[in-house]
Amino acid sequence: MSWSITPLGEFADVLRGVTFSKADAYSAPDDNRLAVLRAGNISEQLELREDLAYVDKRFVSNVQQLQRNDIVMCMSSGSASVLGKSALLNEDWRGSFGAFLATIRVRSESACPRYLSHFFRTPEFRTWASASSGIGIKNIRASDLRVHPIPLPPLEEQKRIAAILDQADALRRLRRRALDRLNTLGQTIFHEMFGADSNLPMIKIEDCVERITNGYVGATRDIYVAKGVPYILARQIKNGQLLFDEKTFITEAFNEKNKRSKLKSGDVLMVQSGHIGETAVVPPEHEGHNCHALIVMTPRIRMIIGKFFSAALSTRRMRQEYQLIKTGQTLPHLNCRDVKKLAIPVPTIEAQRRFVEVTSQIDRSVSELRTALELAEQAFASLQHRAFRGEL
Amino acid sequence: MLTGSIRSQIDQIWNAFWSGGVSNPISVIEQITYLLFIKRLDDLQLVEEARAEQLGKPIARRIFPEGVDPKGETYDNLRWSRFKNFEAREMMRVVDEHVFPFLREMGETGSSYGTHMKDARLGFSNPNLLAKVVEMLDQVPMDDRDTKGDVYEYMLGKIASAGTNGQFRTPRHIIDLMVNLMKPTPQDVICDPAAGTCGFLVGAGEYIRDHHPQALRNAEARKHFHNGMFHGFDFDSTMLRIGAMNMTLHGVENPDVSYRDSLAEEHNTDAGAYSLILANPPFAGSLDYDTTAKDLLKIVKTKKTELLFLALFLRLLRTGGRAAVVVPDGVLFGSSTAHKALRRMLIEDHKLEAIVKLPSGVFRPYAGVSCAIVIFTKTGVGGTEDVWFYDMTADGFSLDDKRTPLLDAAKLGPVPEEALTGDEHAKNNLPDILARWDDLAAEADRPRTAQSFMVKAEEIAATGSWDLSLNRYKEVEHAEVEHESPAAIIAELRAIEVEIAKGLDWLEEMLA
Repeated sequence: MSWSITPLGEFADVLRGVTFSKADAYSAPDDNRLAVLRAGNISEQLELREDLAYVDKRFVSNVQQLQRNDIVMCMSSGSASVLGKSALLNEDWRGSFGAFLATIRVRSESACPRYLSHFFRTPEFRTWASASSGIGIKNIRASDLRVHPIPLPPLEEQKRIAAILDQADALRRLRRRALDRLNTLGQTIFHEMFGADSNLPMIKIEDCVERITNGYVGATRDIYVAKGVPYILARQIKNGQLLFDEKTFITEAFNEKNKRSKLKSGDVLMVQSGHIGETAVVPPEHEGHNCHALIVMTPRIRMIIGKFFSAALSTRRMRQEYQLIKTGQTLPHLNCRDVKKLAIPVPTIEAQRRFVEVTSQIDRSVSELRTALELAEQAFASLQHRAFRGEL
Repeated sequence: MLTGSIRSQIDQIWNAFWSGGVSNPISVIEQITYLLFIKRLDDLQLVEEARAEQLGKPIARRIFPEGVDPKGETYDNLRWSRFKNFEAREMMRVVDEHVFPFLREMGETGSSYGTHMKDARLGFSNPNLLAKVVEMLDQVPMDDRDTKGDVYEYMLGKIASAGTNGQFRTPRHIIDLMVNLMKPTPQDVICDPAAGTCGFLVGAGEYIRDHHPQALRNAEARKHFHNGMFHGFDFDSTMLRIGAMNMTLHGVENPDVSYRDSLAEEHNTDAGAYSLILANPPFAGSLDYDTTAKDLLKIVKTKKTELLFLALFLRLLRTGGRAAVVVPDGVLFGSSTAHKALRRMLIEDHKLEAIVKLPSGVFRPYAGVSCAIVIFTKTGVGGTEDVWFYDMTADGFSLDDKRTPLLDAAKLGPVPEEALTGDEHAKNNLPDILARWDDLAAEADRPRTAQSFMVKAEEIAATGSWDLSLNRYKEVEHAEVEHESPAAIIAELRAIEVEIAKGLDWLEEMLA
């Protein structure tokens, strides 16, 4: 590779953000205040519309006002994984950035901000950033960043690399969006078939099930083993799917001791704490396994099909109900006792079957899209890796 | 109102104890209680001496006798005004070897001041700490009743803020709410059978002073106020000392704050003795079933302290007597025979008036358990018509372990100095609870989706389990949910696929 390796400070400024006390921050704008970005506003892109703080203009110097093509980076954080995350400001926006952040502003014609922005998002740079010093709050020193070596090919080549990576990035985002949209399709079909206008009988959950109980609730520290009976946790239930991550196992003895919550194929599981109300149907391969702090419901087979039941429990209307019965202030929690008093619309078994048929096709598509997304992620990572080694 | 400078003086005393090695907040408050008590003995004698001098008569009531104590120290040296001027080690010697034995002796002879001092012990041996604390306490202005009470309450608040070492203490604004709901009168005989620091009794006393000033003008009423109105029981002698001192410093001269294991003793002597019970009894506590009072087990056969306490209240109240008590949520819906029997009794044999559901962080940091205030009148013949339910969602403080105030001090509590706006109501429901309680007629037509509503006794009985949980009756108001059509989503997915296909082509071209 014949690219020059140039310290960042030679072609860009590193500017630290605005210092202000908590008492000086407002949650609403007015004529004398400027919006200020904080670490939470940096994700894949800059979040410029929500969760902004506002401070009096006098706190913000001229150079601290953000300009198009500035790269905003998190310089201080208690969490190493947050350190160094960055995003490019690719529009005109009036505002500034907080003291835990810095802005990298390219001042020379020799560098392309989009290219630089991609460089800062490589695993190599993030590893360097997260290894920064500090006890408690970790810091990337601006002086260290200024001397950080940047591979700098000719400007045209930088632009070409940036365009390829932008495109690959856009593709994986499109895939993610497609997956998100497909995940909502089941709910809209449910609503269309059995929504608010229908006159279906509302039946209490306790009358729809043969059993309703919850998995073992207690410390998990001492119960896991390297290999044994799969133990399903809340994090493994998302978007109506149970995706066991092959990480949590318990002994047969523990499973036997807690046989009350042993799973049966077709049971419906509901997340009890945290992301309350997420549900999934237990697939045949988890028959006889156990679960942690999930509500386990065995549907009455003549009355309700698991897949339909799971969808009925995940509607937005039901989620509103969970908000009303939840307990716990910091971590929302659902009690079985309250859940079983809630009611759901129960159509005929035939109608439920029709719904299950349609949504099974969606499940297949979800699975295909998930694979496509994984490929898109891999493609991006591969291109990113090659880009800065001069192999594109 | 406690000024900032007094607060800082107390904080300094507290810090002196901490840095002097006395770190358990209960021990700190216990030691301060002893010292305040010793100071008060001297104050009382000074008043008597001044009066005797004015009248030219001998002292009528002498606390410190003339002459020397059994170990040869003059009783005069045992007085606060004397020993406070001693050098630290000498002060330590006098206080430890002479003053405390004198206190214990007072306790044994049953003097009304000394009752709780039977086992008083100085809890530290650092002369400098003693000298420092005596000096600091001497400088805290405790001339009027309000300041004395406030100072002590401020110290008790430190038990609350001291975290795990502290004991379960009912937040003062919840006590205020319950007192304001019950509106004690000068004729009431008030009891808290699990009194702790006597917060409920103090709250009731202050309410009567504020709302019925005449209660202390007439000799008969004054006698009742000081000697007959307040009864608090506990089985922790440290708490009794603290509780008794709290009452004394709030200007109740001779409250009945005494040792009693409320659930273990038969209650034949004071059954039906009280007209008002205010309490937050311990729940989920351990209980020795064999020693539990048989008269309570006759009412309800259970090991659960929260149910036994309710049975106790029914026993202690006179007919027509009222109660406002904190119970854990389980009491409202528990399915055991004892749970159901007790709820049936409240609804069908007596007059259940209200259930105020508290948000679950109210007792943090001690407990996250969900609780409710139950208000009822003992009638013996029923009388429950409509039960008022209120779903309290905010009490003016954050519901996490920090319990940070969400509003200015003037807008906290059930009777804030300034009126609250709608937004502020969402942070402090207490004034709204009082306002609605005072106008129950207006509650009759409220829908079940509102924050408060009435439920007929028959409807509660019809549940078969006399279920009193708010969720059973509250109806959910569904916000209209906008749903997209499946067709629109599918169209969007197709468009995304087309875009992805184009993007892939383009990428391929660039890499070619």
